[in-house]
Amino acid sequence: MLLLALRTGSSHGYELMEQLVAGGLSVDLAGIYRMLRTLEQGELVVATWERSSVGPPRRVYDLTDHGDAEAVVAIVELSRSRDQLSMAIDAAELSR
Amino acid sequence: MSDRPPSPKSPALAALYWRSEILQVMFWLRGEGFGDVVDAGLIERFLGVDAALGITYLHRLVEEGRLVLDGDWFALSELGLREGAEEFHASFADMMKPTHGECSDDCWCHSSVDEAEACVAARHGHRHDSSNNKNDDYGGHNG
Repeated sequence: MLLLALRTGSSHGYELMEQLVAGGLSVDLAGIYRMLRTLEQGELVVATWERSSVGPPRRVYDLTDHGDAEAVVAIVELSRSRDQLSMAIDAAELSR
Repeated sequence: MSDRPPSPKSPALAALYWRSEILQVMFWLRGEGFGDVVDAGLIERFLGVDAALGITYLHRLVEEGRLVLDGDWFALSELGLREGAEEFHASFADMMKPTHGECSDDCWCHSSVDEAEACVAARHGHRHDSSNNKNDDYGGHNG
């Protein structure tokens, strides 16, 4: 889900957490931190330090080409799952 | 998701490993706007270290001058702040090395990030202009 969130544009940890929580997922910043590090080490995301005039530098994450390709695969798989669930729900409703 | 390799078993290496991980988390949290202080519970959540172990390493970092203790709260010292940035830099140093084929195996660029950057600059016929690189002070370029 982090890859999908990053497909909408570069973002930092707290912003990503807010996006996922707004999407109904139960995640905390610690989980986001660990996932981002894993994705970074897997070269699915790349990070830079963004300087701020009012605070400390912040790590900002972007998808790599590899990460974007993985996100597309995830979108296809999730779409399939959604369609299968829709069909199952429709079938269940029709049989009532 | 498996998110970290197992930590080293020997006490000396484990201490180095957890020192790096703790400093990186604190440096990252600082950037996210969570301020300069953490407690052992917060570190535990981020690193998955059990609380007792986390406290052990936190106090060790205080003794080493990398953290400052204030009651139950730990803050990065100047040294810890600098090393937190450096540790982040080092964590992803492998990705920053020149592409294979550009240098021989015995090129000094494989030995450190500084050497790699100098090597890239030399091959491109110019030096890095650090004033234009927003990452220079805080972990270098990662991509």
